[in-house]
Amino acid sequence: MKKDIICIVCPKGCTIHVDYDETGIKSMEGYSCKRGIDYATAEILSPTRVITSSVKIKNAKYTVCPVKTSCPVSKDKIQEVMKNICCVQVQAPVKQGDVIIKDVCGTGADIIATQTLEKEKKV
Amino acid sequence: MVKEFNLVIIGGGPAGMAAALEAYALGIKDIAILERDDSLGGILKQCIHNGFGLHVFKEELTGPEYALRFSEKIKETDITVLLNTMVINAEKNKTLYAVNPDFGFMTIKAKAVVLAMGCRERSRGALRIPGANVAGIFTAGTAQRFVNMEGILPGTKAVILGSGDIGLIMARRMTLEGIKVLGVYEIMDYPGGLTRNIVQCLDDFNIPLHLSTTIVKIHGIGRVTGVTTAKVDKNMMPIKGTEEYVECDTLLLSVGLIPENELTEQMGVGMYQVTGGAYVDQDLETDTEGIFACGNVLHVHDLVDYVTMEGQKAARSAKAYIEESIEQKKTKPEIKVVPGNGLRYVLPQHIYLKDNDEKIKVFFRSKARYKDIVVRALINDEVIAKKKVIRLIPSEMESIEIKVSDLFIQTDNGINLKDLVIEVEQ
Amino acid sequence: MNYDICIIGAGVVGSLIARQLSKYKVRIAVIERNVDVSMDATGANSGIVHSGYDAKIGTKKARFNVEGCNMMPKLCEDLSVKCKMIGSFVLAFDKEDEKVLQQLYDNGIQNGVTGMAIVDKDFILEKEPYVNPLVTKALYAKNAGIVSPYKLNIAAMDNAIMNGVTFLRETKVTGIEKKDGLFHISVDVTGDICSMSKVDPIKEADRTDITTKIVINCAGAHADEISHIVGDDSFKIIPRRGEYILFDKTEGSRINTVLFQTPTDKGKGILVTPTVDGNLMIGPDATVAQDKDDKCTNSDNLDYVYKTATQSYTGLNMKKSITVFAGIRATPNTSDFIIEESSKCRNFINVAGIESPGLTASPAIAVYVESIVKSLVEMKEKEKDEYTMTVKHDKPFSEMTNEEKEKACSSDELCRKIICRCETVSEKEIVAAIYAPCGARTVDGVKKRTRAGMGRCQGGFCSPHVMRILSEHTGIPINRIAKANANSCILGRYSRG
Repeated sequence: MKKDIICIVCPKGCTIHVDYDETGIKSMEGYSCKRGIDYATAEILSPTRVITSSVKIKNAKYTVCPVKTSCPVSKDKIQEVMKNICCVQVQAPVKQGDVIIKDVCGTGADIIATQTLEKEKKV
Repeated sequence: MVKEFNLVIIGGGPAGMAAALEAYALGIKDIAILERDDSLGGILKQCIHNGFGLHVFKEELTGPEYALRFSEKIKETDITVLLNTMVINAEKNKTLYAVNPDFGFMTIKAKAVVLAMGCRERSRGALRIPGANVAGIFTAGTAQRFVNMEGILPGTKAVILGSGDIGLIMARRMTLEGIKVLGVYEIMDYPGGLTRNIVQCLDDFNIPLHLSTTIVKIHGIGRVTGVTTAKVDKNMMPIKGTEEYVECDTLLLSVGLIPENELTEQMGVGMYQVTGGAYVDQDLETDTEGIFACGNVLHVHDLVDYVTMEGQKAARSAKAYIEESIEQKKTKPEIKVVPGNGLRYVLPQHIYLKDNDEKIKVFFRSKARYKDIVVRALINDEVIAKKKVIRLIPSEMESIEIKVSDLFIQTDNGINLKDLVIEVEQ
Repeated sequence: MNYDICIIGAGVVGSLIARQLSKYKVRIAVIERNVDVSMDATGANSGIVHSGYDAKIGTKKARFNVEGCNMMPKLCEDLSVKCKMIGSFVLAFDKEDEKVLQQLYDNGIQNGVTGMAIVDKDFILEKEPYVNPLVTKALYAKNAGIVSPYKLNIAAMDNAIMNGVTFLRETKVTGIEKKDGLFHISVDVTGDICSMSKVDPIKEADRTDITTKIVINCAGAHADEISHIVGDDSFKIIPRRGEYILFDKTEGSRINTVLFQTPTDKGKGILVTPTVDGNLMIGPDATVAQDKDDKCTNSDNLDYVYKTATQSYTGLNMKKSITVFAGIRATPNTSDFIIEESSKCRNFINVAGIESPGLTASPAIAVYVESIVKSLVEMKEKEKDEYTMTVKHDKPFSEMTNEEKEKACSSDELCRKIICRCETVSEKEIVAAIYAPCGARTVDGVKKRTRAGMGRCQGGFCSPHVMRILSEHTGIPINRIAKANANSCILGRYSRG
């Protein structure tokens, strides 16, 4: 099988032509650095993404607190991870880096806060 | 109330924060940041996606994390941070008038001013998209604020006009929140945003990108019920017969950013039409002495890291100004920098030949898409610098380095100065 | 509820009539289908105070135009509404045009217009350097100007409510029956914004079992339908749409006068004018609308407006346009204003077909309608201390001097929060707009009263804040806050419940 992958590691955006089958990658061209090879390999064999979203927060100035997965997770887990993110609720104060959900959906990644939100007095 | 500072930075987004920290690190005393929102960070606070910081921090951060790297550091300094502070008027002599809840009306006097107010989004009205005057039309950034900060969704079925980065990011964000994103429509024949965003925000979710297509009418009573799209010809005029109706309740506009230079103009600072920002020299100093500009208020950037670096540079220049070590540059020969073949703009737009050893990065953006080209700098028809560029597209910024010594050689004792032309080699 | 007088329609005409009658000891209700005043013809209007040279001699249009023009500055002063009598030019570019100028001048003299002169090119270009230099002559009318139509409308209704008038918004008249000399008006509720609001909620009792002795039909484009209900089909309203382009204040600073083109067989041309708030505006064209509520703009029409405007004015920069909009004019098939008791129905007064120069004429129309009502029923004036004909407004923050701003900020914390940067609008002004007698309930309502969101970013930054303030004070949940009517909610659901 053949697939063109646009590398997104850097803004250069190389188009990498990959030839592959069930056993693995047979050939690759169009990359301009090793990071490109790694990216294309991952995109073919096990594409991953860092998921960013937000969770409900109580007693803060906003109703949501932004979060992300602590490392990239398998692309096909995105919907499942989102379901988990939608269910949790946290209380202010929250500090950036706080773990909100440990090992979300068995991916090995934690959901961590990406913002620091103080407790609001008036809420 | 009258307040006096050595350096006043207007805007507490990435440009302003970087400028403040750099100025502080250089030993400037009495620095103030004036920020209209209730916390530092600017637009980064609502950019909760990741991908920021590869150049400056060598890792991928989300917007809020990137902002915290700076705002936490600022907390450790004695930089004065005035939040909820709106500068409502400004004068050429660097007197600013601002209001905030703690001090009321303030007159703020500064030795040097760094402009870091960022930009705003082009609105429906500026585009003059015809049709119904209805709710449900958002600029992508306003929708982003609602979703990511207020936690409220704009609608249920969305169409996005324009493939700018915020629009692409919002396509993914809304999809993850269960909003059906029906398509992204781009009038140009290439996407406006970064490739990584096309891949990760559209392709990952099978959201179609329609190039050379625009919205010719908005329908609805009260709220949007649909839009009519049409293909455009090479003059970007809609082609009759290609109209399609798309039913939706939400329309996001990601059709360009405009530097917010109302204060700049009030201060009498000269503007550069193409960027919509101030006309600056290599020190990022405007034509009004002691007023510097950086970040999206100067020209719209593609990456926040470049904004940060520009903020730092403006701070270095402001320090030199405060210490009275750069104004003598105005006695030196001055040359204009102009965009030549293939380029839309250059920055800086003029250079003082003050220091033989100085190396100057001239930033530029192209008018069209190019592959495997050479960009060169010419003075008096002689090439003084060349750079190979694998890919040059209008949405991404590039730069070329110039040695001031090369400019000197070409300028005959400062008489008959020619423009420095940056162009795509034909 | 039993009223003496019901006015249908809260445009500038209906609202000024309500104000005019509110000095009498009568119970008055104004019934409006929209959530606010000024949502139809008045809301999207050129905002010109015409001097009155073009209306046909002897018509109601001519009479009320000239009278209204003379009344406008004082009325606006009483209502704290900006009105600038900046004068107008009708520009001529050839001999044919010049002939028309002379006709207009002669017509104006007969209509009683003062302060007119035919002026030459030098005079025009000195006053307006961006007028097309091919101009040959112009009819200059000193006694002409600009006013904000919706501000005048809002202030008139504020004043009426201060004097006890009941304002029934989101209330649509569906039937009128006359029994024993009394009108019974049945209505539909068109939305729930005004009943949801904690601030002056609509009391349901006020709009159930409505009876009234007199009905005044000010229903704009729909006036013929209202008249039809009582069996009077003596006129028809042909809705004509006009489209406008509004430009940034940077552009408004270069124009000083209202610029008309010489009317021809093909139409009245496109006007170029500053607005009272300092923007530049061009428009309107005139196309017959299929639907009386179709206020859509169309690219062909906007192109026409732009191209035609450039024939008289060279200073247009399309990059500086900030919005486009369309309005519906209530053009009657009778060619003149219809202001009279219906010949088919006693005590039913039609005030219909009030197309241009209706805004200018509206103060005079209100006084004339007052005399009609007085001829039908006896009304006693209230004691002097029981009513007022003036409305006081605090000076907008943006118009204060630095000293005034400092003073305002020191005495009021809400002044220190600037919500709209483009137009420098403080939270205090937005809150005041909500609590005004005819208070804002929607984002557009706040915009018209305070200018928040009216500027170059068109609410990009301030709309989340305006919505929060509206929600906090009115108690309307944030995702029910609407742009205009109840069918125009801005946001959907909370993402996390």
